[in-house]
Amino acid sequence: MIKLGIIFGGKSYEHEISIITAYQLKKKLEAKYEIHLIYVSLNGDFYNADKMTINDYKYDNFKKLKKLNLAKWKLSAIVGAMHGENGEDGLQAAFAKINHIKFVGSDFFSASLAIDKLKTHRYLGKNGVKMVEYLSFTYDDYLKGKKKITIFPCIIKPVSLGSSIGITVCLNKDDLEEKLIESFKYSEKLLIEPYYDDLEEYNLALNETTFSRLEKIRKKDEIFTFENKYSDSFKVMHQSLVANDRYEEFCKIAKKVYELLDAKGIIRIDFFIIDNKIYVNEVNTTPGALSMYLFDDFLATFDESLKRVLSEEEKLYPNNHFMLKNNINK
Amino acid sequence: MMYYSLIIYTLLKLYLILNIYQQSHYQFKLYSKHFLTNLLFYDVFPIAVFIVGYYNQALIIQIICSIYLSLFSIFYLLTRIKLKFTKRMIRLSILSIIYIAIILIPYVGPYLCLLFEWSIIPLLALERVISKLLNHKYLKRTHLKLANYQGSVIGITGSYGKTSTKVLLTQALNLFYLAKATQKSYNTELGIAKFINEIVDLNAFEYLVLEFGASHKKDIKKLQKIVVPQVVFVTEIGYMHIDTFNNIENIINEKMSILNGAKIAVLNYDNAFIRNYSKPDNIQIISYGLENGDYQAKNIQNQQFDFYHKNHFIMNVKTNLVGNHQILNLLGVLAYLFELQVDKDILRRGILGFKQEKNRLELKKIQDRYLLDDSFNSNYKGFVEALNVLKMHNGKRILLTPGMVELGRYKKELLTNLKDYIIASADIIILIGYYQTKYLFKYLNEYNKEVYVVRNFMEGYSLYLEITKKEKNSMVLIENDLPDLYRVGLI
Repeated sequence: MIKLGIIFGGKSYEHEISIITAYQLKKKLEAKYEIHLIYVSLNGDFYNADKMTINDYKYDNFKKLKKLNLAKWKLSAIVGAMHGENGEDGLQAAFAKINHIKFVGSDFFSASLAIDKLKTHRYLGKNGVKMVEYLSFTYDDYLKGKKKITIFPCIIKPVSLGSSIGITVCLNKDDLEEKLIESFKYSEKLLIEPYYDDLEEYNLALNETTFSRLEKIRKKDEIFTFENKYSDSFKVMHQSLVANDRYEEFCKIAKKVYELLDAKGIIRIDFFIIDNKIYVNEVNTTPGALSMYLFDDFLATFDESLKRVLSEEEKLYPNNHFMLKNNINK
Repeated sequence: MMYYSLIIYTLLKLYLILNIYQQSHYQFKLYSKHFLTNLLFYDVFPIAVFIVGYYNQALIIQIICSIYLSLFSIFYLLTRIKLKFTKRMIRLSILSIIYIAIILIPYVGPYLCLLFEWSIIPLLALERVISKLLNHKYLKRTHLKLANYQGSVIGITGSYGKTSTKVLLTQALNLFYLAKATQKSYNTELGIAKFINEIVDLNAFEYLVLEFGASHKKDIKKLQKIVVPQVVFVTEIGYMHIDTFNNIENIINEKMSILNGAKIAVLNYDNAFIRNYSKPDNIQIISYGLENGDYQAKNIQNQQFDFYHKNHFIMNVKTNLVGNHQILNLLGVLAYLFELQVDKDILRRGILGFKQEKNRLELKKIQDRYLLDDSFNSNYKGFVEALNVLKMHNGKRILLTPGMVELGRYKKELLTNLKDYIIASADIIILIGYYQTKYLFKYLNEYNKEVYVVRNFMEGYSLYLEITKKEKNSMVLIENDLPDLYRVGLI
């Protein structure tokens, strides 16, 4: 049986969501693989969390756990379930790499590009992917007050956070400063986009070979900010899977983004449709629950990515890694 | 046999002794006061039990007495505050155990052990000399480092509000300069020395913000031996630590002695003790307050106020801080920064982002509802502070809480106090979890309050939304220890 490690937690605002992703993933993958859990606490300590259940994380229970001893498990590969900074930004892939273990998912470079919404915008935009117009805004810009924001209503996003944490919608100039500060709590740099009333949001996940179904995010009036989820409107947050006649078009764009980013494993791309045009909003290299609910057969899709990773070394290209080994032996 | 139980008794008592010694800040006066007031419990009773067991021939009485003595000493472990094993404490423990072995000589030994809190005093005195010598070396390093420091040192003192002021001041200074402040508990002589010694390049910072704790006479003087701050803040003077100071005059004189050698003093003139104190002539006074002083905050409402200097309007300030005490602290910071003639627009924008590290109480406005979020908090004091903010709100006031999960041994005592605060501050109370809130429920139910008990947070939250559907200006306090899984709304 293939031994897989799931790494999750980490110093991130999405720490708790990451725990949920890890346990959903574990439940699903247990059928086929031997699963071990690598928990990273908020302080950055690594633990062997095999014995923990999802409810055990409420208090500091994990402190009783044994410290991580990776060598003991002899893992074939590590799956990333970390969201947000210090994990999804490529550090989880780097952790695997520095420990000489294969990683199922995007590598350090792709992930760190994709987590920064600003860089993703610039890079994909320059390479022919339609992106919504944007403005970058730093804390320094805010303090000095020279850079003016004129697009209203606008949506304000911290550059390097997944999900909807720290995202605010600003309707007019009067509450702009308060909304900016709300988002600055999460990141020093912000991305400001115009807010569209008639916007439709779609998600699509894919890996090297397979596309998932298309998911339409339903919403009532405003985009889901963290506050909205907290208040009464969170009830309408459930998704619906739709058949869309432009499915092929979505897939084509998704494939292009996948290749441009040189991504690996399962990623999820968030799209907007504004005035009948498809825009890419953001790319998640570790989507929540690895978007398993979007795939018809998640296990097979995941297995496909895993097989690719495990057979990487057999790839025929003139690599000279053996020279490294020889030199060390001398 | 009595000897064995005596050793157990002495070792357990040692734990208590060291704990009391630590809590009385290594001062003999407080230490002996504590033991003298409880003489019956600590000395008379154990000695009586020992004498009965020791001089009695009957084996059965010996056994009973020795068991009694051992069990009795377990009481000593049940102290309110846990012993902190600092370097000094480890040193003391080792020395004391050797000391016990030495004093266990026949005839006198048992009584020395029974009166261990007194017979240990020579050892404590000896250890004090040792640590003085060690500290001297450490403080010398601090002195040397500070002698070469070119920036300004700011000292903050007061009965309360000094940590809040420190946190705000550091954030304000960092908008324009580079400033570094002591961590929360580093307000003693050694704490400040440690803070300074740990900074690699002191001159990289233009400002050092130090908290000057003063809970005993001459504490400030001790700290001034390390460094005399050029700029001083006195936030509030009140009756804190009155038992060590004897009277309020001593407290005032102690706190205001920070002015000696300073060039600028930023003083809270709302406090009559500070206002009426006769200050030295050669010092620049910057005074602030909600009602008194040169710098004032007027028209305080909805987390914003107008900032005035000698009745001249300067600017309107918005803040995310909650409560008037926080605005007062902010005012002192603003007054000082204004005297530094910084760009007031940058200051105004920066203030909006200021936050308090210590209590993470946060006020959010969602549509026409106010949400007071204190769900990260898990201590009793924070709970009471949050309730005080809720109390001041005009409109329906709702409390949503799973109660205090970890109150420890004093649960009942604290819960009865908490109940009084809750009754005074909230109109509607929603308790989460039947089991963990059963005491609170029982207490509150006696007072004809509108109390609901629900199974989980989501249920409670829906209930709150239902209740406040027609209310316009409602405020809910979400208090305590909610796992974040609930907050995200995924479970």
